This record gives sequence, C-alpha cells and structure tokens, in this order.
Amino acid sequence: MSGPIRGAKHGEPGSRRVVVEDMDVARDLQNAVAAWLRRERSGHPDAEPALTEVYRRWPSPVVPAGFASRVLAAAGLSPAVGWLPTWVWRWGFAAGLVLVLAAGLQVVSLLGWVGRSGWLAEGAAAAVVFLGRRLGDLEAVGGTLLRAGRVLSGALDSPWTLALCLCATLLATGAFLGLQTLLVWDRSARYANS
Amino acid sequence: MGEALGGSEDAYRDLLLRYQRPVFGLIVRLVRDRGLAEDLAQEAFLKAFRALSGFQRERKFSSWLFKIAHNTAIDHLRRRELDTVPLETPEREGPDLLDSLAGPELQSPETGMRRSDLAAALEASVQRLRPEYRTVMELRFREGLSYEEIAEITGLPMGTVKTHIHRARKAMAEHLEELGWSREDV
Repeated sequence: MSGPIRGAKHGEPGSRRVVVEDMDVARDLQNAVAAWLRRERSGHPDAEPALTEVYRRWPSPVVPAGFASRVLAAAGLSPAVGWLPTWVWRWGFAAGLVLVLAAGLQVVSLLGWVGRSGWLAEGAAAAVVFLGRRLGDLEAVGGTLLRAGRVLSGALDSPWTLALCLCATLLATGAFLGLQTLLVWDRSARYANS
Repeated sequence: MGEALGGSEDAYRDLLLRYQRPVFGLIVRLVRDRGLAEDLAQEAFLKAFRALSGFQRERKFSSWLFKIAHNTAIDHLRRRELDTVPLETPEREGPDLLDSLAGPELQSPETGMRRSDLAAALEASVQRLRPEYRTVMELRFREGLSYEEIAEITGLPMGTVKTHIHRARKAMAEHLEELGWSREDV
C-alpha cells in the first residue's frame, strides 16, 4: 500500500482515498502504540517520547459543533465573524436598521404624496389626546403633538422626501444584503467543521 | 494576547478558537460526559473572559486557562461527588461513551476499523485511570506541558505529578498489553 494521500478528509463516505489514508493512519497508530509498549516494558528512557508520539497520532475528542459561537453568545459578544473584521458585522446591522427606518418613512411619505399622511400624524396625536383625557391632564401634550404632526406630515407630503426615502431604502438594502451575504459565506466557511 | 487583555472582541474569538479543543479535551477526559464537558468548557471560558483583565502577563496564558478549566471540572466533580473510581478497581466503560469520545471520524467501521478499535482501547485504558491521573496524562502527552506547568495547573507538588504520570503510564501499558496491542504491524 502506498503512503498517505494528502487532501483526503477522514470519514468522508464513498471515497477510496479516505480508506487508504485511514488504513495508513491506523497502522501508524498501532505501530506507535507497539513501540511505546516495547520501550515501557524494557524501561527504555525514550518511553515517554514514544507515548507522546502515541498521543500525537491518537485524535483528541472532537469539539461539539458551534461550541465557539455559543460561548461568544453567552459572553455577550457578537457572533463569530471569521476573517471579517467586527466593523463589517456592525455596519451590516446599521444598514439593516437604516433599511427598516427608510422603508417605514417611504411608506409614510408615499401615503403623504397621495394626500393621506396627515391622517397618520393627526390620528396619532388624537390617540394621545384621548389617552390624556383618560389618564390625566395630557391634553396639552396631545395638542403639541398634533401641531408637530401637521408640520411633519407637510414635509412628508413632498415628493422629494419620497424620492430621498426611496434612494435610502435602495442603498440600505444593497448594503444590508451585501454585508449579510459576506458574513454568511465567511461564517459557514470558518465554522463548518468547528 | 495583549489585544484580548485590552478587550478586543476579535482577539477573544481567536483565543477561543485556539484553545477550545485542548480545553474541551481536558474537561471531557475528567468528567467523561460530552454534554457535561461542553457546559463546563463554556463555563471555564466565561470565567476566563471575565478574569482576563486580572491576568498577569508574565504568566503563560495556556497554563492559566488550563488551571481555570481544571478547577471548573474538579469543582463540579466535587459537588456531584462523582468519579471516585480508584485505579485498582477499574470501572468498565460502555461502548457509547467510548464511541462519543473517539469522535465521529473514528466511527466508520469499514474505513478505520483497526484505528477505531485501538482508539477505543486507548480511550478505555485512560478512562480506567483516576481523574487526577487522566488530567496529568492529557496535559503531559497531549498538550506537551512540563512537570512544572502541570504542577501549577493541578496544584499538586511536582513529585506527585511525576508519580501520577509514572503510575498512569504503567497502568495504561498493562491494560493495552492485556488487550494484545503490543504487536507491531508490518
């Protein structure tokens, strides 16, 4: 039988190269054990290095899959990101947040553009007034909110606001999807066998 | 190392990835239960993360981390009053534990039967040892630590460490001889 073939993965089913390599590894381990036992029996000074050789060829217990990620999560640290720096992970989240905000504003602005956003602002203020009357003297707060809502709805009614929100949504979507794809790719490559 | 002490998350990750195998290996040898070992290894890493700011840079990081892992496992064993099997009365381990310790790549009977058998025999010979013997053997032969480092990690006098290693080696060798693994392949 020839020497071990590099590149074959242990335990990969259906691969002849795996069989060849595993058989060689098995023989190496067996020979290392026998050499150690022989030295141990005769009190040879090299018995200890021989046992080190046995341990080197004897695989250590496999760490459970995802162990590192679980420890990081328990430590309150962000999930593992492999070779990507942490700022990529943070900016990915930031992009996601911008995406949600921009999309929300876009919806409101769209409603405003067709002349309905005032309903939202005024409806919210009216709810505060209603609650204020029920819970105490918050009517003044409700009035202030109502005025602020009208100013805001005026701004949102502008087609420029809608265009701005649309651009922000598109940019944030691109950034979010791009960064998340990078992270998933990186993490799966790094932790596939962890 | 310096970065981790300074609080860099990336450096924490690197330390975790670098030491997860030896720390888990040490603990699983002690407690002989993969699920429990995972919990204790996680606890050990969390303790280490919290204590990193107090780590003295002149110490060897691996010894410091192994000491935390060792103490975590020993504390658990003491709490549970488990694992008091003396060397003279070996406990027989079931195949499930040995299989799980050997790892999935050793469980393919067609490709690695001999290796799997021998790995299981080695595992059994280690599992028969007392917990303190298993620890010193793992630290000495798997991690290649010096007697001084092992003494520091386990809190045992160096003479005791040497005695433990000597006795453990003899016990393992005798067991493997009994099982017929002294024959060298050709």
